[in-house]
Amino acid sequence: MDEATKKLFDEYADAFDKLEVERHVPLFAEHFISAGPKGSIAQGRDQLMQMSRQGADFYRSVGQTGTKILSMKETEISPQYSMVTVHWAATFKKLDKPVEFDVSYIVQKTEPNDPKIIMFIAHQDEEAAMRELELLS
Amino acid sequence: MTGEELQGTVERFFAEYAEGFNQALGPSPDLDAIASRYTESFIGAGPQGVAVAKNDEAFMETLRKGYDFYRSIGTKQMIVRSVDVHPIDDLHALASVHWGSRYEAKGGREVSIDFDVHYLLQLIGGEPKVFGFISGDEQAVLREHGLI
Repeated sequence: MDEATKKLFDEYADAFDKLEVERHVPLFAEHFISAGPKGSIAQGRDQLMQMSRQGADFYRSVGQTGTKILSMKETEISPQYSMVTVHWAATFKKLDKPVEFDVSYIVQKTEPNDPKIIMFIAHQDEEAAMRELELLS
Repeated sequence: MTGEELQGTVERFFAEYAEGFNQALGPSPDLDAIASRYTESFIGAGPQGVAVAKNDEAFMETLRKGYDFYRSIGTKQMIVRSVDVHPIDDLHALASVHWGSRYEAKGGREVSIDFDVHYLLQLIGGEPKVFGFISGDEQAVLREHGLI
């Protein structure tokens, strides 16, 4: 993985860990797609900013205390795009063990020193997983 | 879905995709059939950048203009040469399609171009749909071959 892409995910992970998720916004392209088991939608950075604030409140409400990247795997798609699959671990006040999950990100590298996320694919249904773990009241 | 089933499903999807493309080169293109292979909104990416599009009337117009353009440069046929499928999770896959295309340029000159497009596929409900694609610089390649 090149330095710029590694830096992007280091920043992403640090912001997620500290629940300063508005720091995610500049890491995304102006428009991007978010996908998961329920489908996919196009979003803009403005919506992301709004969602980030709600997201941080939500993670706090379920007692999330930290997140970190356990591993990353990059697959080159073309000279300008790659897919990075991140294996995450999140810790919660109510749980003894971290919860592990995967998200794949499509990264645009048309400007090699300023990579951007143009799509993310959540492998699991986050809400269903949290319900199963009784994190949702 | 096993790896083998996924490969078969995706290969069938692109065989039909190519069939739809070739049909649309004719006089009465079935653009609805082509649009139905895409999700409600999707992303198109290339060396120049990224664009998000909605599968709406504007997309139908883009398709209409696109096929008019392909006809105008003498496009005769698109063939799927191979499909490499990389599962992302149970409901998503990346499919790299190696396409072959055939043209009859001005003066009757025959042109063949091979190129790759990488598709992000959603497999919710079992039927693949494209929610993203990453392609090369099509215009540059067509220019290089003297088609535009």
